Amino acid sequence: MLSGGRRSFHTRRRLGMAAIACLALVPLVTPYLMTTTYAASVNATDVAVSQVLSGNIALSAQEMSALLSMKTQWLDQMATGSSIAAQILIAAFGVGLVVRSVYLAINIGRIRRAINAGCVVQRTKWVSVVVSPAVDVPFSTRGLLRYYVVLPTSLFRDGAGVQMALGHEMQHIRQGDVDAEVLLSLISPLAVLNPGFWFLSSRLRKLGELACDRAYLARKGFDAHGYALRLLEIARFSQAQAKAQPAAFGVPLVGRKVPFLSRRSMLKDRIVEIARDQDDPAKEALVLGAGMSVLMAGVVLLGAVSLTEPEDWSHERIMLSTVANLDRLNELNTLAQRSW
Amino acid sequence: MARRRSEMLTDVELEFMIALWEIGTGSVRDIMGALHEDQQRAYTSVATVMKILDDKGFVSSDRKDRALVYSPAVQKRDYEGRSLKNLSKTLFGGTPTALVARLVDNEDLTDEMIQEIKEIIDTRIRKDDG
Repeated sequence: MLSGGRRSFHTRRRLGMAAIACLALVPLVTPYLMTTTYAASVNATDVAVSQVLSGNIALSAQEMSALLSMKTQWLDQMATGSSIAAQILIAAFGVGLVVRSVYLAINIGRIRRAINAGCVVQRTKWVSVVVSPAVDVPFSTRGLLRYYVVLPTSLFRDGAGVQMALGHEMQHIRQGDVDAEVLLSLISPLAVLNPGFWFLSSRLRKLGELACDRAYLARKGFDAHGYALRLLEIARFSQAQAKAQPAAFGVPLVGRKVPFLSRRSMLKDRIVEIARDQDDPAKEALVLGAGMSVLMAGVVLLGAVSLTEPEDWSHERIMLSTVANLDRLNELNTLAQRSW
Repeated sequence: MARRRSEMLTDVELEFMIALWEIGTGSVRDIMGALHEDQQRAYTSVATVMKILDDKGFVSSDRKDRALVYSPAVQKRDYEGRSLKNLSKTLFGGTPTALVARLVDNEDLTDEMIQEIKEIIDTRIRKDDG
């Protein structure tokens, strides 16, 4: 869905955000969902146990019991730090949490500095446009109540460049990219060891950029050629500025390099998609996308409920436990009867 | 006369400046003597780095007899202040990367990649003045 080749960028991004939003909501809504009558009938563990008891899965009752208790044992180990692996994981998580939190704090400092060093050139009810000498790439962000579009002073030599950067950043605000970016950044310290989170974040960011380029250029009177050239020019300028920074601290702070995901040039992908849109315009299926997002939310929540351990043991779990205990007794009896 | 200007010292230059700050003033041999044992370098290397420091404006030199005698032109306390300022600039300067939507992401674009992208723009994207 997120890494496919389909060109409905906005729809794909919306599906990804729906999935992430539902996963974030799972801890809050699961206790309520588990009280519903449907929850008991969709438990995936019970289905698997039932299949083992019926002989459709080639596992013994003891193996299945061990498999089911694995999660509890693992959580106990993590909570008590009783194994070395658990201790290493807890330490890695702690270090990652602190490093990522410091990184975010530094970015908050950078944002505040850029806004405070700048001059507000336009202020509407929700958005402030700031021109700042402290940045080299236009960006948008948000505070508690307002959005900010921050443009570098160096861009103001080029009037069309200002219009393009402003339009692009306003489109990011309109399509919810800024809110998503802030939310993803804020939850990132907790997901620091989860490669899936970084993969999703990277893909969602890319889809957001592709959707933003398309929406901006879809408006009448905007020149795709000039837009693409300015993107390249700003990227080159930003790269030159980053290289001018001292090596210590500079390298990890200037990029968004995600290991194994950043080998392709995002800028090149964006330019190629702009060219493809000119040759073969793609339309976003907004209504279908909204419907699929609702369906996605339902599937994610259903999946979460089905994987949650029920409070009471079901008939299948009691049967499995009984069979496993009988197997164990049988083994003991066999051992007792053996003549050494 | 400065050959090139740089606000900050490299690691090796900093080693020599620390030695010079310790002795106050001295020739290349004096500076070599003030370096720690594990920092010892050839006479010509030390002389070259001191010449660079002179060009950068971190030291001043006077010729006495046939040897150059160097003195710090920047005091240690001033340089420490400059280092902290530079660190702050590095940490809090530049465009933020988290919590924002940027117009373009930072990428290591090689000359070949830039040329390739430029060609795509020129050959595949039409100018649309409408």
